[in-house]
Amino acid sequence: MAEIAPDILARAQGGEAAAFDELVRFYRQDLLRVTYRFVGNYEDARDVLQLVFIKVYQNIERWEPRAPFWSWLYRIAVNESLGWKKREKRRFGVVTPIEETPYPDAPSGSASPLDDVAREEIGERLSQAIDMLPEMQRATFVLRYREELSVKETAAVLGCAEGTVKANGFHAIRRLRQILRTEDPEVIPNESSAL
Amino acid sequence: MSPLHCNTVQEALWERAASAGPAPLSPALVDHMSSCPACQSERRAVAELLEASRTMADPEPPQDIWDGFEERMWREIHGNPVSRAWGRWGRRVVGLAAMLVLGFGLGAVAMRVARPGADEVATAERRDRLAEDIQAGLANDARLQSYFDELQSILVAYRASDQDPSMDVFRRSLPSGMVAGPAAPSEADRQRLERQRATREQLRSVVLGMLVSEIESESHGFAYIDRRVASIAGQQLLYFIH
Repeated sequence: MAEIAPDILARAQGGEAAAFDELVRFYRQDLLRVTYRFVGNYEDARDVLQLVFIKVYQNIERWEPRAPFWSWLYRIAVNESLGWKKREKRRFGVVTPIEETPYPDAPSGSASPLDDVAREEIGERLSQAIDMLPEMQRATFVLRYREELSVKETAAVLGCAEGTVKANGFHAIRRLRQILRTEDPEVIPNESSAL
Repeated sequence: MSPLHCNTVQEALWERAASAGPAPLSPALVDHMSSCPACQSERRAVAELLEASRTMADPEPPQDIWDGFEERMWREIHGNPVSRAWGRWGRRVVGLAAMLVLGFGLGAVAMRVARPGADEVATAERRDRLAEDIQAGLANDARLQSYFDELQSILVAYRASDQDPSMDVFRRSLPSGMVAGPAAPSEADRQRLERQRATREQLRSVVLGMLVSEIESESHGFAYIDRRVASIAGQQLLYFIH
């Protein structure tokens, strides 16, 4: 992820509201994507993001440039998103289903409408399967395979060891394979099930 | 097919997918997969899962998603009791207060546990010594007083019976150099005795005052005062006798 200019960051740390506004505008789109991938709808993702920026504002002085600023933001976004999911689960007992996930970026000339439908369905099933993962596995999977962070970056965001990221990634993949095999063997092709 | 079990191979595939980078498959895995359709399939499935995750697009956010975003955020920040100003200064004030409370608390505990405890022991010991000194002093004073009274009554009786032959025994028991007074106390003697008694009372008051002062200041020197009491009383006795 791109980093904001150091002088803007320094001014925001110094309490300049205009600089903080600039910081918010710089990062909000990327962080909205992260919160959306955890909470599953844009309205809640935006509310979570507001909490994220409020927390950033209140704690920005405590950030130390030992790690990239964006990884600190990611960590707050992931924690707030997981916290929101927990609160929602406590309140309603269910988790908001993931919104429809079409494939707007699919190359228009490379796939037929049927392929688009199949991909859309795969995406939807996969999102639901990811949502069924335990908290840390879900966070690891989203950061590693949705946000495409490296193991080291994921460890920095989650505040854990790289080995923990690998282990959680391993368990997440295994669990996803089990979920997808059980729920719909056709979603992710698995010739072994036919053997 | 190689002796590797399919579960082992598939776990290795998941682990490889979760690792930092695409590591080459070991010869044993390659050997197994070359002849195992199930593991070949699992390898493809994992690759497709990860590819689907990477390429799975999110829906576009609503156009108005950012409308009023910053305004609401600032409103929340300023309306929030943990605003930045409070967050900055409040944390410092709370931290300082916590440090002070902790410091005083630890100080009080330390004073009670360490130094005051030793002081208390020392004070208790000193108080005990003081009480013993006072008791000894008072006993000494009482003993002197009774000695005075007894001696005075003897002398009066002696003078009253100057002619009594039985008193020769007493006279002989007196230390050498000690002389008997007139047969009966004169008015002057009586006044002198009164003055001596008054002086002795004054001295006693002074000494007791000093003793009280010493007690109050918890200074050392009770032995000295005790000696002074005995000395003054002795001088009074000698003066009275002479």
